[in-house]
Amino acid sequence: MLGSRPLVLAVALGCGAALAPAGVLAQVADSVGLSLTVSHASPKPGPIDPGAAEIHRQLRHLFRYESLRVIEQRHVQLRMQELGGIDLPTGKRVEFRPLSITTTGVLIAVEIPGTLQTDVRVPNRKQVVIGVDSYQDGKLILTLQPDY
Amino acid sequence: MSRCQGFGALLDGYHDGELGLVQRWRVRRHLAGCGACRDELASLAHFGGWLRAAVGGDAPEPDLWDAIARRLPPTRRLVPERLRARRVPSRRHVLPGLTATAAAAAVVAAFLVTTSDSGRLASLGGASGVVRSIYANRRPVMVLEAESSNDSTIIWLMDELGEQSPEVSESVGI
Repeated sequence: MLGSRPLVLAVALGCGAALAPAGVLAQVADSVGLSLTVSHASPKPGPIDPGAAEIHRQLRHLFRYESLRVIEQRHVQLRMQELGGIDLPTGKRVEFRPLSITTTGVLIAVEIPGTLQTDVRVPNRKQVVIGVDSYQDGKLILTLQPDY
Repeated sequence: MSRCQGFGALLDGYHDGELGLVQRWRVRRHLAGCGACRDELASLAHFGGWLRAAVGGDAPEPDLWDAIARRLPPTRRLVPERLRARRVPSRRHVLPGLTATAAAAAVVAAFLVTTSDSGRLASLGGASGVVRSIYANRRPVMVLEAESSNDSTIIWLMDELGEQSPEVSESVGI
């Protein structure tokens, strides 16, 4: 009887070790970091903002614009169901709420009241680019990138 | 089937100017990262130029049809107007269009959505399944889902219907 105790202990420790990563994942998945960038693409000649290089790489073959300027960059940390937001220069506000995290990504509800409602499931560190509204002579572009 | 095989038919349609705006977006994005398809498109353009030159060289004289028409029997006039007006496309013209349509149907990676008040679309499920639902208050939206690990998913709100069509939007830039 006494001889079986170390075995039980070892099994218990083994199970604990096996479950530990899941516990860590659950802890990490409790919140999600969101990198938000608001940029302005314009047909007026000008520089491509280095901070918008990745957006430029994605859009340059699809649209004609001459300059791309980052207006605002922000990183927020949100718990599941917590509401975040960022104001656009047009006066509109973009709201987002992480809903859940699965192996395929984080499900985020994005809303620009009166303009857009969408649910996107974004894999970790992948970008969603949203062409929002016309602004001045160009277009406002919002990018959203989760990090968890 | 590799991604490039899936794009073969789309390349035909792209070259022939038969694709809609969203499919053109897809092709352009793919071309940006695929040298093989750029070469394929260049060869299509080369072949097209050769074909035009070859056909152009043998083209009938402008007044040849008038001469033939004068010699046709009058029964030609009995053909109903709607049949005479119908354009009969050549086989060369039809096939790329059909294959491009089939390819577009097979790979749902990009789409144009015009939502209405009651038109909240659920489970759109594109190639990467990033966009789960979308509602844009009657504005047309174009969605270009990521097709490779290097791509981002792009959601593009167009201006209000009637103010600026997608085609115009593309032609003037952004």
